[in-house]
Amino acid sequence: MIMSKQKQIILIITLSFSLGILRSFFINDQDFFIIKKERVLEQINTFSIPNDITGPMVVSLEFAKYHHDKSSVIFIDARDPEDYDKGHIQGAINIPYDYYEDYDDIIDELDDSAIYITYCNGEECSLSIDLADYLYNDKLFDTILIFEGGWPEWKESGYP
Amino acid sequence: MNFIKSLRLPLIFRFILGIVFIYASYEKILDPIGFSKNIHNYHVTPIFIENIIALVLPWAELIIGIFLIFGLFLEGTISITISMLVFFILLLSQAVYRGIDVHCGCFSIDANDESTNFQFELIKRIIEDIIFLGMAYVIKFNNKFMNQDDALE
Repeated sequence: MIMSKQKQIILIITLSFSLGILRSFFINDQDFFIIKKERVLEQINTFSIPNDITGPMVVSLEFAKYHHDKSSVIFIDARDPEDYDKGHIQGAINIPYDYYEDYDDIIDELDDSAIYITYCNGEECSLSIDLADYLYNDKLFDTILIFEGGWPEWKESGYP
Repeated sequence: MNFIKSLRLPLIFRFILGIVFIYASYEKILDPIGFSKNIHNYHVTPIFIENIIALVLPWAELIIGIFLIFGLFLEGTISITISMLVFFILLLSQAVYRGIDVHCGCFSIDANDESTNFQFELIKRIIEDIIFLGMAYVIKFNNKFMNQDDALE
């Protein structure tokens, strides 16, 4: 049986779609949907840290600076070590999300009841959110906050 | 000319491309969530289709890889192969042009900073894809001539 080129293309596309949809039934992640939803993270609008958060929350530059000055939080840089070495928020520790398994010893030594703010390369960067999810959901840290402006915003403001 | 013909280049290229596509699909089929994140990092697709692409594209690569190796539905397979490679080349090129660090999806802060290494990786991948595209065209034209020969006979 000879199929026209168009029919062959339709066959391949249909097959791929069917297998892809079938594959989605075997994904063990409640947050995974075929149609991806944009994730909206809750934002903290005051300077006080809520006691019982239900997930990682986003904080502003002002919030980050305020608590940086008071040393009431620990900053975690989620970028690669090379980026961290080139410049980071003063006092921040480096846990690159891409290699987090290698940093398990360091993570386990951290006090999980302390307050942490993760950051990376600004709003286009998702490492800080991924790391925050990991620390909150898998490592059961109490309070993980995300500073979305990250190193670019911090550096631009001339903060240490 | 006969020597070149005797090399059976189109057949070799079909095998090479087939293996490349199957190899590329394998990890993505196992980890669609990770692949969806990677797609997100290129900043070109609307968020709602990222998971669909992450689910469907690897299977398309696997099917194309198998069809290339076994020479099945070659006309349609090679058309999709060429479209995919062109798409990948454009995708990677825009990432280089915009200076996106696809690894973490971040735009680099300074134009001439550490991301040069990553840019180099991307350019390497673009060159690879252009070579694969060349192979795909060799297969396409060979297939066309074979069909013409069949028709003449």
